[in-house]
Amino acid sequence: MLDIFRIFSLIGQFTISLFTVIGRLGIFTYSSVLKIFLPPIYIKNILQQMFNVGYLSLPVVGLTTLFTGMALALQIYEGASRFNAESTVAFVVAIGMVRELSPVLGGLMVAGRVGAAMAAEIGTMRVTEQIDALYTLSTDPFKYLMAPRLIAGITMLPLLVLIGDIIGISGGFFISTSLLDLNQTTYIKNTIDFLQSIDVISGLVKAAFFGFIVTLMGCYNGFYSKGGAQGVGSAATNAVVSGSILILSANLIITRIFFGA
Amino acid sequence: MTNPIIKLSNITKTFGDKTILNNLDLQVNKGESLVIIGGSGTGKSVTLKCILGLLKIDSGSINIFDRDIEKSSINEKQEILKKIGMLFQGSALFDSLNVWQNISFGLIKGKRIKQSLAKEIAIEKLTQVGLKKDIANLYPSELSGGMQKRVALARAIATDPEIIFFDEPTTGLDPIMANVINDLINNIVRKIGATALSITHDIESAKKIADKISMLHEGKIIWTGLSSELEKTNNKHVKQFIHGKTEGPIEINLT
Ligand SMILES: Nc1ncnc2c1ncn2[C@@H]1O[C@H](COP(=O)(O)OP(=O)(O)OP(=O)(O)O)[C@@H](O)[C@H]1O
Ligand SMILES: [Mg+2]
Repeated sequence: MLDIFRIFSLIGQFTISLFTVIGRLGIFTYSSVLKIFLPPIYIKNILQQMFNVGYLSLPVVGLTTLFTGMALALQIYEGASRFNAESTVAFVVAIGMVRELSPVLGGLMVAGRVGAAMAAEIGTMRVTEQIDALYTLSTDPFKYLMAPRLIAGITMLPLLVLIGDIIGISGGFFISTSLLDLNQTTYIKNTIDFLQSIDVISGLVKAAFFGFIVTLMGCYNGFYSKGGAQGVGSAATNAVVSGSILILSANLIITRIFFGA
Repeated sequence: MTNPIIKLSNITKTFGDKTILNNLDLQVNKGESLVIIGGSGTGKSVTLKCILGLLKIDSGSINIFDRDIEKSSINEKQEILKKIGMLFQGSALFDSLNVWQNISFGLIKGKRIKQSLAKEIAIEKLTQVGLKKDIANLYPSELSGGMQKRVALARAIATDPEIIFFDEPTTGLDPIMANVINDLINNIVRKIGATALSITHDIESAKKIADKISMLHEGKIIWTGLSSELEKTNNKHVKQFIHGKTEGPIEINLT
């Protein structure tokens, strides 16, 4: 009998904490997004975050998309040759990179790099009372800390993904025309002829959402981190895990909206 | 006529099932220096954070400048906060900014003073807290604990606020430097006319900087008196506390 009550109580506790988190996240998101549009705007912080999210993530995103583009070309070539359809390699690589792999892998890499760092930084500011100090110096932490990070995420990730698209397609081109025996001119022609602007645009829209998700999760987990070093550590972990899962599920939804029949 | 600039009525604050403040009343008059003493973990810092709105109280009301903080809009709160300075117990310096940027933060961000002027003011405050101006470009992590405390103090007073909260201003300082800070606080209250609410464990410092002293125990103010009355009182709790006796009405849990 007692055991049954315990199970109910556990389910109850879980449900309450789930709704608490959802409510808190909702309010946090609302306040941060609202503050993006309200003055004062801290230009210096925005530029600093753009540099951090955009420029400093270039190597990671560049390498990820380069290797992925190359591997994709190998895979598609091998698969397509079973149907004597080697000429589709260029097109499939381009679509795969632009629509799916560059935004998703780019987003996941940035979640690991930027999301964790943001959670750790803001979490440290939380536990050392720097966020309280900001507030007592009549500066809104949402405007000063969160808004610049969100702006940087939303604007820089599409840019990174666009660069990733180009690098990934070039990687595929390099493998196909040097290692495999595809013709250079036909490869380029196939890529350009069949790739539509909606393919690229859908990828960039995804990237903007992913940038929002990554920075939001970084800020949120940092802002609510508790305790000392351990709390900050788990905030960073949570930022990466929740960011990654949200990216993957948002990816499915956005894909469905763009291309679902 | 007394004129309370800070007025707490019936404040209750709990964390989970722990009650920290239990129907606490407290008043600070304009231009007065009040010091709160009390055991470690009795809720002194929590009281300050409640007044500042950093922690939400469960019940009661807080009036500053005759305005109810709980009922004020965000903009009104910001206006009130511009007239308040706060020294945190753990300094809470911004580690991404250097010393003078920390001190001038409220001047530049809050009061929109030009950077060059703000830097001059920052360096002036730095000398007032007994620090050399050549540390202005160092970062907080490059300073000793006592130096960080004094930079935080300089930041708290940089905007010449009307009300200043000092959470343990002299902890971690050598006796001479502690007196420099005592004098500074006296100077701010007596000459500039600011209102100060301080917390300290340092009884000597309390006697020097306080007009009035209040003792916090088990969520309530159990004694308030003039600083000269501290030694003479018959209150058993106060007596035990200021003499650091292990025996008396204040329970010590050593388990
Ligand atoms: N954010 C918090 N969450 C939960 N409990 C807290 C929190 N902040 C403070 N407390 C609890 O409230 C009590 C009072 O804390 P407070 O920091 O006010 O003590 P204090 O009187 O300033 O002590 P000290 O003189 O050591 O600084 C402590 O028991 C502490 O555990
Ligand atoms: Mg304290």
